[in-house]
Amino acid sequence: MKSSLFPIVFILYIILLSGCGAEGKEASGTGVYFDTVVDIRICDGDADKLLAECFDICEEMENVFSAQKEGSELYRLNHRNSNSVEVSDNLASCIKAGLYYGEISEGAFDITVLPLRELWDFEAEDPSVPSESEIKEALKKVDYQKVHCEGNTIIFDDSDTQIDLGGIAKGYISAKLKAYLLEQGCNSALINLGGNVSAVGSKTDGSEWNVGIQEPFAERGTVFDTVQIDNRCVVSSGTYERYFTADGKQYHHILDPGTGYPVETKLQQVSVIGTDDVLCDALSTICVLIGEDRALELIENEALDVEVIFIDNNHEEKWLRD
Amino acid sequence: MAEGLDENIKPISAEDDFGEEKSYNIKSGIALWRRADLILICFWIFFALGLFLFSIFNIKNAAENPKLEILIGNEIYGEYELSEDRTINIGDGNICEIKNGSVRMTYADCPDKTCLHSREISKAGESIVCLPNHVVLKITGGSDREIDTVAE
Repeated sequence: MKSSLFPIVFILYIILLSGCGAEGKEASGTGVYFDTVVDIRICDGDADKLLAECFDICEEMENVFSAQKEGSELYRLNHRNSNSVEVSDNLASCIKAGLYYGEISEGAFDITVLPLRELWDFEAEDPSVPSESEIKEALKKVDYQKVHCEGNTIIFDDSDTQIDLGGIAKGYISAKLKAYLLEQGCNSALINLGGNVSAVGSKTDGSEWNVGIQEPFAERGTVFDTVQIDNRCVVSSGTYERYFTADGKQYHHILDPGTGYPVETKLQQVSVIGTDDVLCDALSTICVLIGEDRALELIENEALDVEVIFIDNNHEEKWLRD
Repeated sequence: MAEGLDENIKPISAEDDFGEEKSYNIKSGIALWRRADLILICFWIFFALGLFLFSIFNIKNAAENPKLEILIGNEIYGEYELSEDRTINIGDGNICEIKNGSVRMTYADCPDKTCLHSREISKAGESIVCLPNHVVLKITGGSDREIDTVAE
């Protein structure tokens, strides 16, 4: 008799608790890694432990991908003695992905843009437009086709070539965090890696995450639209993210590896929504670089599984849906 | 177990004995159920109910009192109630202000000043970041989120 009663009591107990238990399990944290604010919210599983593990992964990734951090693996790769360097799995996979997106965007997305980026230095206190000769000089060092990846060995044709994974590393890291959480059986978490949002599962009540999209050139935190996602990510890129004004002209941080100047575009922002974090991260920048028409062509030709929101200079919003 | 209370009541595990004896045993089972297990069930239900109400109260409480959490690097610098207007010096590099339940960055010595051009925050999950100084202002505690996060 007793043995048949206990399950009933136990189930009642669970039902009563689960109404709020979901809240109790939640853990969230914020940290600064690779010059990016990382915000993680975990609502499933052993939340505290998973959160700590996620930040450990971020720290580990910072030591791989931070081009500015002396001693990081990427820094050492850029300051190499030999043009053939053995790197870790993480760095090799990310460079491989970067080269792939260089290929499909016909060079618009170029991971060797570092000399040019350092020249423009958008993070400086008082950024200015570099001289034309400086830009020409830096452009000589930019060519992703001089980088090759064989297994875990990176081979450079030129000792001046330097790699910057800024346009793709965040996507790579958020994909890694997501994979780790799923592998641990966590089915509800939200990752924001410096504006790249990636969802693991849905909210605990089964509803989708509500993600706001930053309005270009408005105060940070101003949202013009929201998207609902589960198991997908949202990445926005645009000319509003970082820019300065000189002689009445705006110079933004999305540099065209063809000209060495900020890319001329009618687009203010492109947001890409999809299941592949790396693809979304790279594609959002590529779309700004190649413009709407070529972007639509690329998405169709490569059969990329994404939704895209284009915002042009007139603040007009255009959706590409499946 | 209940021997002595009633001569006819026998433990359930009594030898297989079909017929009238069996129906007697079922009856005695109900009698047992009423006495001990009902009390135990009630106890568990009340215990669970109590926990449930306690958690709801806690969540409500948290939702009503969102707090400002300030981080420098990955360390918590301080936690402040939003109900009290005040100005907070965050190290030497930043100053923020709590006014009418909202928080704004009012000074930053960093080059890009992005944080000064950030919208004021008041709801759980919202944040203002001064990346060069590694300062993060973040609203915590409340659970009434309209937007879970913002893609930038």
